[in-house]
Amino acid sequence: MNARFWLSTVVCIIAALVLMPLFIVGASVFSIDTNLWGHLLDTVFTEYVLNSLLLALGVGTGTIVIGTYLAYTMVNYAFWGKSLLTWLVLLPLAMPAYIIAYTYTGLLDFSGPVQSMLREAFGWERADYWFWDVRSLSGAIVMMILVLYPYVYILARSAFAEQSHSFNKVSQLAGYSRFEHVRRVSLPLARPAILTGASLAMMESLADYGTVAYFGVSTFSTGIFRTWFGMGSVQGAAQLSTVLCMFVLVLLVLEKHSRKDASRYQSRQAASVKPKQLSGIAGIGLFLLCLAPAVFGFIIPFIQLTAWSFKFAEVGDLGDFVSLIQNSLTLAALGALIIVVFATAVSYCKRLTQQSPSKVPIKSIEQALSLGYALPGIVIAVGVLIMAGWSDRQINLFTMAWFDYRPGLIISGGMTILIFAYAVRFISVALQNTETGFMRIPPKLDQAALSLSGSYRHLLSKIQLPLLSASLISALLLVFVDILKELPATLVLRPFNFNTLAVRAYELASDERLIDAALPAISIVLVGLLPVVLLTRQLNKAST
Amino acid sequence: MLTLDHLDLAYANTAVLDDINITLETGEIGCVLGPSGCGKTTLLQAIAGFHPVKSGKILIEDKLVSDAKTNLAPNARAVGVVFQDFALFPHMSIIKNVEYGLHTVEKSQRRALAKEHLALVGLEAFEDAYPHELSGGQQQRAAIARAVAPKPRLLLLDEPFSSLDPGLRERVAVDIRNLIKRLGITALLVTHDQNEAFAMADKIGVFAQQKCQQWDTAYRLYHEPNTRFVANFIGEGTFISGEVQQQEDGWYVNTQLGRLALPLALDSSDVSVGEALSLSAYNCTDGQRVDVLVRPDDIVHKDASPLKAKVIDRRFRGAQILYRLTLPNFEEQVLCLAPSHHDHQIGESFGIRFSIEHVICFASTSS
Repeated sequence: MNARFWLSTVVCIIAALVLMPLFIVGASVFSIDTNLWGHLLDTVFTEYVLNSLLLALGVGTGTIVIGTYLAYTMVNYAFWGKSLLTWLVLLPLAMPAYIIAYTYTGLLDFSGPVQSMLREAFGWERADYWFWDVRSLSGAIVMMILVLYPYVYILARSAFAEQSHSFNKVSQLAGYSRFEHVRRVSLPLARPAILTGASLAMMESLADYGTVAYFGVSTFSTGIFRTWFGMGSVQGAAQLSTVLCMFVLVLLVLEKHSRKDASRYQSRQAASVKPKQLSGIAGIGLFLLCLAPAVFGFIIPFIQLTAWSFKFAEVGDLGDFVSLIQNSLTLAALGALIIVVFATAVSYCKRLTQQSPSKVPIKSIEQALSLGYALPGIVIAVGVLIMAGWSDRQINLFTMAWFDYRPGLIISGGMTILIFAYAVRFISVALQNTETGFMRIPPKLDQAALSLSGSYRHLLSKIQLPLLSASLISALLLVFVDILKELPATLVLRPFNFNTLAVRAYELASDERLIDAALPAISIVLVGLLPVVLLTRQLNKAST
Repeated sequence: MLTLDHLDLAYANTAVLDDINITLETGEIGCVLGPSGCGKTTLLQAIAGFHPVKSGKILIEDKLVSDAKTNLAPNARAVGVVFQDFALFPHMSIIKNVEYGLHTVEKSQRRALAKEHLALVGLEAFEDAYPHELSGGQQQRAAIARAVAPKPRLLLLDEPFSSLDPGLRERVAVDIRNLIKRLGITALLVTHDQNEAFAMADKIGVFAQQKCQQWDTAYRLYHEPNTRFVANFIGEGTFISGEVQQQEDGWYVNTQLGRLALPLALDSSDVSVGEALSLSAYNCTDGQRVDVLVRPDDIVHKDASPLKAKVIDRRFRGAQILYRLTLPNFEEQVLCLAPSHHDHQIGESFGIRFSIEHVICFASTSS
């Protein structure tokens, strides 16, 4: 029984625990409550399906349009301000959809600055004009497009950039116009990457709770919430979750399939496209066109949040804010640390089994674990809570029988359950980083190290961890920020009287206290900028 | 067919190629050979119409396609290009790739024409396959089929063998040569590998230092190099020193391997260092110090010879052994390609005979 055996065993046990909530949600379909479902089908179910579908399709279409035109222009043209744009276009990634949603509500509703200005300028009264109601399904779609288009942009950009320059020449030799070339060659070749990005954006839109709940749009995620707390049926919530997971599964298949095509369509062998220089009006026009998504997706809401924060600082009580920051940072740091340590163990285990085969199905475990990112936080919350509630009951029965003592909700009432839920949802984020980190260390290096000193402990501590440090840091950072932003699972699972920045921002905004919500909101955005900076630098390095 | 007339090419203000003069007859295969970075790919780009010309002219079938003012669009030049990375569209089947260049042809004939050309390159069984399903050699043939299907007047091939396995290259080169000859197309290829050039081309231009050093057949490049660069670049060889001597019956060079007759009469213009003193460009003065090019096949193994040389290095090449030898005087070295059964170890000496057919000498750099 060597260290490897114990490592694999621990990995398997933790993986089983992490995957359990998914099974619980899936298993709920076997105990259908016909009363509840009769009611759901008669009333809201069609609305959930329709709204969720429209939301996903709208977000998919919008992100495809914006992400693709941005990526195409950034790769194929050179113009004034382009280097600035490579930073700006990614900033909306730092903006959670529920925050941008309530910011635009403040800007665009009846008493907001835009409508007030219009009334003043034209002397209109309340009933004199029609104005777009941002608190609607279309509003939710627009909000999510504004913050999710970078998913398509990032993937499409590398897809366009990796198209061989010779492809252009083949088309020129055959006498095709630039437009024809784009239609027949460039776009079809980028299509898998675009679809991958769009399916990720659509999964995010299905997972969203904050925006749709704030806007009062009934989708699956708000429906799960309502069934659970409004109707008191956890089983019903779990069953609705399963239906939502079916939708996600379709997107997941699309994503995996597209990734396979993309790897075939993109080659790094050849020299890539040389951007065409544009100057004068054409250049400025293109700059403005590419700037627009960043302006609406980040700059305007950020300025508004800053303004509100200053207003709040003058009158508000900052004491509450300090404890919020403490809570959020502690939770996120602790969660990130635990999740990354586990992800490293899984990746290390996988590497060991690659070198010498073992019976542990580590590859399947890894694939199953990476499903978490596709699952909406609310679904995970349902699964985790059912599991923790059951465990608590068993523990209490056990202690009652043996010690005549009832410890209460020791699992589902504390922080453990939160961190466990985060692990289910974000383990894939950490795994992606530790995986690529280990992949960058050539296996020959392990062999060299082992031939000089036979100890696996030395190999890990002296060779692999130092080489992994960059990947580990980025894994920590990404998970940290994701936990900080996470809303639905935190909202449902947090201990009593325990608030985080995300929860507080959402609650205050829901109570129409937009100004009070600004400070926690902008804190989330500012911390969220860190991984965006990291990502931009990686992308810029890759493209030079 | 193809004429490059005093052609200058540049990137922004950096000169790439200077005063290139080349002609290629219809049906000939030409090759631009040179080290990487010598501007050979830029030349191909200019001929195809992807790179502007600074001065001079490019003519295809006596029609001006490029000069400082003109730059005919690539599709109006009737050239086909086989790209280094083949540039087959990965999202189209092979037949669709070939049809891509045939969009000006009537729709009903497109498929037949594409099939015909796939059959020509032996890929008729693969028309519905996608590029990633083909081997490197098959991809290359597909790329050639796509390039020649629109019936170009001139076929350009950019490093056509560099993506193939080194072991395959020469065999594929011969196949491609036969194919091009069968199609009767004029072709120009670019490569840095002289074996590929020898296997493919009728005429080879050695490019270096922004110039075309020599535009000639492979035989003449090896045996009668115009410049010291070509002598060094093509094949193996060393230089030994000599002194020019004028006698009544002609000109000679005295070396430690004996007196060699220079082939032609002289004219008396200046000779710059590095330019060959042979044939028409051959001009020097009595008593001038020169370097004489000695190829491995100029030194013959002969045990009975009184002239002995010492082995300082040997490379076994199967049928032959390539010896590096020091000559008795001045520590000069020569190469000797001896039949493999003459097995000498490093440090041993053996007799050699000097048997030189083409005396090539360059004005000495060390005088």
